[in-house]
Amino acid sequence: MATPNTASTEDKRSYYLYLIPGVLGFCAIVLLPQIANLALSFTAWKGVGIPRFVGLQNYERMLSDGQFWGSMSHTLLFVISMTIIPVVFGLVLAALLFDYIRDQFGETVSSLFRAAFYLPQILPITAAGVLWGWIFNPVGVINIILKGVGLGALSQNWLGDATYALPAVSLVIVWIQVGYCLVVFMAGLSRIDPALYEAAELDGAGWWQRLVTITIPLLAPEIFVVVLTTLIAALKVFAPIFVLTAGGPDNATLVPSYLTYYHFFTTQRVGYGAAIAVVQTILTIGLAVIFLRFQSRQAGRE
Amino acid sequence: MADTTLTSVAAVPHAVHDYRRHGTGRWFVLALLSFLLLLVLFPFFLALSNSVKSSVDYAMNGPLSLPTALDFSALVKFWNLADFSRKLLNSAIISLAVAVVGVTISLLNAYAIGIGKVRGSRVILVVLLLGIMVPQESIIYPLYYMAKATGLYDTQLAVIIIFAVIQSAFGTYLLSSVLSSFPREIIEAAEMDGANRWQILWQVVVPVLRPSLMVVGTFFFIWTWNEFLIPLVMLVSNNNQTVSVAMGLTRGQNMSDPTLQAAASLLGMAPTLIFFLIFQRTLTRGVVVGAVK
Amino acid sequence: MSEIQIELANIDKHYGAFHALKNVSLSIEKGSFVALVGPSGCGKSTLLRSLAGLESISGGTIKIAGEVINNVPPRKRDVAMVFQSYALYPHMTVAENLTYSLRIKGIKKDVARRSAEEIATTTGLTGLLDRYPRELSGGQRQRVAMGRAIIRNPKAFLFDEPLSNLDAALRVHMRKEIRALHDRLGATSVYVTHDQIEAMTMADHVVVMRDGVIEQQGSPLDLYDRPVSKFVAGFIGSPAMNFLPGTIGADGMSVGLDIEGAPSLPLGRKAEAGQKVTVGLRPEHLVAADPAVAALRLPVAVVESTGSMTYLTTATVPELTVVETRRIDAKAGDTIGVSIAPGHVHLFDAVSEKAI
Repeated sequence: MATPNTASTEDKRSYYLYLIPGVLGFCAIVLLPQIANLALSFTAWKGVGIPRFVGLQNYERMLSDGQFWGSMSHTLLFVISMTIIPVVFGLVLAALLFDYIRDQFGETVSSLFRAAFYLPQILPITAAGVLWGWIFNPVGVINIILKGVGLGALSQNWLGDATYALPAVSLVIVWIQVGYCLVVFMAGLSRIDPALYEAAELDGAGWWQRLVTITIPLLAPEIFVVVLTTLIAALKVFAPIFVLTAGGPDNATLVPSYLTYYHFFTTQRVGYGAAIAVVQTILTIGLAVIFLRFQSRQAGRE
Repeated sequence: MADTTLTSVAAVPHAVHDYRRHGTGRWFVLALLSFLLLLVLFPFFLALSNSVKSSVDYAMNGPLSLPTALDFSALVKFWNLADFSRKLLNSAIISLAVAVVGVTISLLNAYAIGIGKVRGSRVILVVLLLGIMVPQESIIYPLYYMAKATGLYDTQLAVIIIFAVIQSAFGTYLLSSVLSSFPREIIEAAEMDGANRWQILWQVVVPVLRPSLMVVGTFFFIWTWNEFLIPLVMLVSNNNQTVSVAMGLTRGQNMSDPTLQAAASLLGMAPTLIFFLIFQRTLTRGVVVGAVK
Repeated sequence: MSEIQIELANIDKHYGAFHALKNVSLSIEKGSFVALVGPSGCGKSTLLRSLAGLESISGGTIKIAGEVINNVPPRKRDVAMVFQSYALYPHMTVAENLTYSLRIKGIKKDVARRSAEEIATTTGLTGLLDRYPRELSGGQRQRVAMGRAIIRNPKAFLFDEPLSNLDAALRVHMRKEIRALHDRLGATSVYVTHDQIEAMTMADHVVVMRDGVIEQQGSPLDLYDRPVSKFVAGFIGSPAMNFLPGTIGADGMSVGLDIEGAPSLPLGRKAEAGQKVTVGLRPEHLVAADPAVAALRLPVAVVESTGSMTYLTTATVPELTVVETRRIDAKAGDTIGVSIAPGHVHLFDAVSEKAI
């Protein structure tokens, strides 16, 4: 028999008590600061004294701020290294590991690969940053290797040259991100009925055909989730930039998060920094709403 | 016996087919993946081999050769330079406290939402999730200001409170969905047995939920360990800083010595690496929980 | 025996627009075993859960041992419940499961343990006290669930389809065991089931529910012999009663059946001549007889024999079931003669479906 809600309504109310610590904390730590930040974005403030209301000035200024637009365009470029390359790599690797390596060499080998590819994802980004900063050093590992194979002419000051800094940082980000995609996709694959693969194999589909006709369509929910979460993450890239380039050289790797940080704590233009953070927040919420819509639709389907 | 024979006969064509298709191809694929794997792991190898090298060895043989002799001077030097034991302790205290407090808050929230099915729980979940998805830059300045105003600036307590709340938003989401499928009749049986709501939570729900709580706690620990922006802003004095912040700031310090840099990165990664090796299963499984519910 | 232990008066329950219980009143005597039976969605579980306090009621009064407990939470009602899924605490051993309610009351561990051992003897769980629920069979889990209820010595036992997760043989066995336990403890039990055989065999008093109202209540045989409506008549008894349309004869003392051959059955009582009725004939009341003298001559469609019983299905519209305890030498295509005692002919109004 269907038994809808239980307990008397009067009794139910006492469950609200359990929300008090969480909700109070959330209001104090997230909601209130968020509102304060929004309010600050309409002011000019140096961090001391009383903020002066300036209306939309900060936003107007943003429109003509080369640094801001530069940072936004870098964010778009980071979509390539945060989302596109890791998703493609992750898909192919996941399919190979799941549908081929596991069949041929067993579960252990495949989980070993998965764990190893996932490793960079779990490290403190700052520690990874120190490592890569050293690898990209003018007298660092990459240039030494290039010299060693007779391509010394190609060696660069990777992070110190405005042309190469962004690709170099992107490489680090790909290194970090592939594991995340791989792990989510492999979990998604384990949900797919293996009989489908066997059927496809009997129908004569090769590995690539199985990837395109079975794996990718059936992994659509995971792909969607990974794409959205990594897009949101791309909007928030901060630590790798802080550690590797500090936005330089010549603003070539500047991102909105770093710009905000810079205005908050270096130039003390708190109002302007807050305005940039608001723009970032609005973009994030836009993506997050799409994400949540999708999640609840998925949940409804289950 | 007859059965076995039959199966093996039936299996023969398949085996032949397998052999023809995969004979050399399988090794090629394995080699390709192994190459990629080496590429991914190469930086770790570099950090390891160069941090146990003497500067002279490095100068003579470069970063790619294996150390001629084990030399821990770079590791020791960075350890002392960065006051690394202090940093480890700080990170451990903060992460552990966040894990415990964060899981507790998540549990209380999830109890009301998943079991109590309080009205408005959907809205609460959405607000919580949006709250943790937005960039931390958008709350960092007010938090910084509040911390200064309340005297919590440059204290680990500030970082613990902030992360316990932020992580618990995510934990609430995870645990609510776990608890919403908790067998209703077990709760009702406890009610009939005379347990009140508080007793049911701690004597019935928590013991049953313990594996999930451990997963969530493990995640809170490692996320907090790796957090950068908020500790960077909140913890200015050397004595309070975490490993992650110390790593982020090494770049600023003039570290021209390459073995010292390798040692720094190795020490920065080592705790998480060890943690990862211990909790590998939990962590890889949990990512999925995090991303796809 | 006549002391009232549980009294439900004018209970109403709404789930939004759905009216789950409609003005239900029921008195349960102390020491009696009452079964609430009905098809799924009839409100029997809701009624039981309201009694337990797991559901709030929209109107009416619930009294247990003379006290109004409408707003008393379940833990203070002093009633115990056995759930369909058993709802054992998975992280506790059998002993811990049994004594959880005692430990909450602050009873000392060793005292609780001794009670658990006693209960284990009563319920046949000796030697299993330190096992976990996952290590037990279905029947053992069922016993733990019972033991957990018994140990508290509550004012009433509530059972919510406790046997439906067991296989058929074990179900029959547990039926007797539960009833025996009830008698031994002198308990007051309310037992919800959708299985009318369980209700008939276990209960002193059966309450048939339908669409949120009590259709009929009484002793099992009362319901069998004198169903007040076509619904109760069809629900109680197995195989189910045959229903066929008919019209009361001009003399009012017989009923003509609307099946081929338009046979007529004597009633042994007077009914309103010409009235359209539904005639109810229990399969076991139809007795095979010599076709020459039998009231009904029916073509046979299917013959099933279990050895002790013969089940015949007729080729009529609607088809009828006949159960014989003797072996009948008939096969599909034959015509058999069937008689029925006038007292066994049930009549229901064709429109209101109430018994006549």
